[in-house]
Amino acid sequence: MRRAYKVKNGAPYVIMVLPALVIFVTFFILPLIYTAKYSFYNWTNFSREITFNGLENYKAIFQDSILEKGITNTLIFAFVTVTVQSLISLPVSVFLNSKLKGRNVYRAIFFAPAVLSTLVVGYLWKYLMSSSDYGFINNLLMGMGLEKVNFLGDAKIALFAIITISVWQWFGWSMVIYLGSLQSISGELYEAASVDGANGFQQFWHITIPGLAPAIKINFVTSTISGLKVFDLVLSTTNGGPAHKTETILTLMFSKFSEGNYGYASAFGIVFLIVSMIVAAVMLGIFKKWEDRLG
Amino acid sequence: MKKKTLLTDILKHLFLLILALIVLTPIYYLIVTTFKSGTEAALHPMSLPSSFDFGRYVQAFHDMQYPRAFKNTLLITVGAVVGIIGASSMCGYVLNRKGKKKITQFIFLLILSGMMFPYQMSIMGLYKLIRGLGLMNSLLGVILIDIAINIPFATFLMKNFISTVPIELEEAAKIDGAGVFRTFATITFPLLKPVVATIAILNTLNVWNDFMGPLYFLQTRENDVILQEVYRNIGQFSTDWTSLFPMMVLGVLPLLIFYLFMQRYIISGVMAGSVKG
Amino acid sequence: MKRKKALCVLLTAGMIAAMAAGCGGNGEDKAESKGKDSGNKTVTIMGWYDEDDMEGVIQAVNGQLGGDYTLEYTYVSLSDYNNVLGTQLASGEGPDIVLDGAEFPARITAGNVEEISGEEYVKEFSEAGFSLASKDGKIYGIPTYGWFSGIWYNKDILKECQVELPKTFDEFVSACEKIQAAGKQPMGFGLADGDTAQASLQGYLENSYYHNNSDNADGIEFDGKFASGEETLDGNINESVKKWYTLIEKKIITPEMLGISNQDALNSFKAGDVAFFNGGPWQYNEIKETGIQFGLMPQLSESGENVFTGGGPAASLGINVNAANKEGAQKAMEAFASVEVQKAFVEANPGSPSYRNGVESEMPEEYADIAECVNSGNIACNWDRWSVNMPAQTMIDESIAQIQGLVSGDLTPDEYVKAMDAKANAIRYEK
Repeated sequence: MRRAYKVKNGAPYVIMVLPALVIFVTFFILPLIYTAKYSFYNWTNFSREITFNGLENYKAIFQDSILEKGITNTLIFAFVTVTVQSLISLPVSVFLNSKLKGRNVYRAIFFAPAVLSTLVVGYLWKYLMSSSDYGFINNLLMGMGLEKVNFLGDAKIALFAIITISVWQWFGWSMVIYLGSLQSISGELYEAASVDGANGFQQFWHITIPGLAPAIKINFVTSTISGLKVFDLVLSTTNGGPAHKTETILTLMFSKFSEGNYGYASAFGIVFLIVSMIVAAVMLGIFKKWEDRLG
Repeated sequence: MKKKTLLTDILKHLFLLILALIVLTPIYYLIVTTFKSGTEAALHPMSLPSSFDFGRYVQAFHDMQYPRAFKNTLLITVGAVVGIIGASSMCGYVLNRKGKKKITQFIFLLILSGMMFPYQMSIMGLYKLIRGLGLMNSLLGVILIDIAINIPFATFLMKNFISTVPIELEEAAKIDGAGVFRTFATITFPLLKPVVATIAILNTLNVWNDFMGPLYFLQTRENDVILQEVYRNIGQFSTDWTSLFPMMVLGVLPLLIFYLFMQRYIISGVMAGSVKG
Repeated sequence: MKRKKALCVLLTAGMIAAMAAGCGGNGEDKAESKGKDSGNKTVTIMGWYDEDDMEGVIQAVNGQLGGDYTLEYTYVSLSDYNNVLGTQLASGEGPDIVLDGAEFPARITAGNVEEISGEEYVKEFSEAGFSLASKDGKIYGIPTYGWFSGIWYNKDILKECQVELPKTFDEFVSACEKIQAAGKQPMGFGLADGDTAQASLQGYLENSYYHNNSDNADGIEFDGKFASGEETLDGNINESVKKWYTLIEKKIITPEMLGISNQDALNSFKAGDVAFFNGGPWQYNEIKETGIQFGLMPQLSESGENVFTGGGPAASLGINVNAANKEGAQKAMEAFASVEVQKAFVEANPGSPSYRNGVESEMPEEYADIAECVNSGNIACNWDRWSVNMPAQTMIDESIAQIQGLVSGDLTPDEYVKAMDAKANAIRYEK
């Protein structure tokens, strides 16, 4: 009798887990297995059948010097974006956490770009940064008596121009995360510090930063992972140019897909998986050490 | 002492004002340019337009087949968000309430693994799968993908939140003879409002602005979303650039309006989502 | 307890079923999509031409079909086209009529289009029209019209700078220098997203490497060898690329152009600020509207004799082997081959030649300088010849990207050539 009751009890729970589990396994885990499999196959738009070809796709990828460029660009993009974003949003969030007039308006303004589509943001900035006579920023620079800058057309700075756009769009998001965390730091800590004679900077260093540790971790880990996925923004600004200098892992993968070379694109996906695993492990490792030091 | 705070306040305001200017200028430029001719935009980029002619918006609205694209985007977003909330609330509930069992712990770890890795790495496998299931060019395919990739984080938030919901109420309901489903639906779920709101907001932003999924999996025009309309029209060489700006505005307008009205909730949703994470 | 295990098994079974559905589903969906279209009156076609531009053609086709069928046209942007069409065809779907340009040979290779060698209407077209639509002597598609490109020039600027219309490449370079010295912009390029520098280089190669060059004994046959992998570009076209590179060395093409979009560059030409702009008939109406005094000239050779300009069959049309409406597709092909429809194609692209017997095209007066070249059939481009064994659009895109490197000063002409070889090595269908 007791057993029967238990089974009756268990079935609904299984049914409640199933939708999430089945959808997740089917559309997340299974594709990963497929991708791994097809990375060893010759699968293109133009061939009539899919044939096994061993490590050929991987060989082709590693012979292609573009891959290295793509990975480096992606890593630079992810790390620089994350760092600059936090350098701006940390002080901003500290300011906005004090009783400043109009802080809600500031907050609303800074977050606004985050709701815009990255694709459209990219197109917009492409016009703003254009080196033609219509280019708004260059008009501004020339009005101030400075030289024109070819933001997206100069291979040396194009990637950093894209990073600037990304920071413009997302620093408000990380600001909100810091704000949320700041509100949970008890005011008493600051009062006690004030009594002890700590100045503003000392308070920031010894109370705010350790208090923000979890938020810093979240910001860095999530933004880095989403930085690795940069795609829309590059597509709409430089499309990987000039001369492939701003290609990222995902733009390269997409062009392989467009060419109809699916096996090769699959191998690219697996390389991407490995890169993100390494990055995630390194990030988590670094933060673990930091948290240990903070105690 | 007072003087010093006043001075720092002024400096803070100065810093924040400049930053606000940098944030707002491109958006302002985007909007005013839609009403200007090419020459006017080049000569007076920052001035208010000399006239407000909505003719270009009408044209863009027509070129983008806006009502249809809007409908598709809305269907995908609503379908995915409802699906995510439904699936993750039930799953998170079980993972919390039955959290001591080995199998639930395993399932939790499995689903959690989805948070670490971008799904884009397996897009080719996904492509193969979607084609195999006959879901190519169907909104349902994109909805299912959006649900799958957002389930891990949503389930994680749900499970954490449910641990703060007292179990006593459920036990009372059970004694009254309510089954597991009824208990969940009538007792627990209504208490999940805050986390449901958080998940709904975060995922609305995510799904609405997702471009890559539709780009790969919705290839016929009648099924495409707003962003694809922006992409296809801007990708065309023969279009005059001033006529592209209304399209860009139409591309971001729905969420911008959503933001204008829901600003407070969206920001606190993002805040809640991160603090819990 | 047993039941619980059973539930676990059920759960796993569910997942496996889902997997199986994924694995086994390759072929099944074909049947589905076919079934629902029986007795259907619409014939579908997809293309990268604007709906507005295609309107005349669609009307003409529907007129020919006389109400038995209706043609339904879907526009897909060129940047997406290969991807969209290729995916659909590979999964056994796609439009009834397959329209494609330089990738048409790929569709033949993949077995996506039906052989039509025996059809009556095929005989109405000249041999040259099948250059992209035939393989091993069999014909798989019919051409639409002939596209060609050239160089638009602004008559007023030339007059103002006292420059004669150049007849040779060297004259062209010195004309540009003269215009530059007069403080005007000689050539407009939007290299952020445009293919005009690639068009310029291709035009130069056609004149000075593939033709009129005693060092290249193979002529255009060289491309057959390159396509198959027997020959590399490196060691062959280098000198010609270096000569074209003069345009970059003399700052006629500048790094600043890398930050300018193609549309911006065209706008500058339309505004009368630029003397030369690479383009073609598809821009005629747009430029004409501005009221500037302009003309179209061909690409240039070294001697000024035997001039070639870039071009070929614009697109070919074939029947999808998996067409949902095959009967309708066959009827539509006959309609497409008719004089009326072929005329409509030419009207939409003023001055373009037709491959169809009985269709004459009239050139606008602005084409006087390019007329001889076009009328004598000196229209060609290397990527069409490459397309037998590699996806041509990929080569075009790669060339556009690598030329950006030439312009920015990061690459030398030799490195450009090597990069093109590397790309070709990676993407040949048969290695």
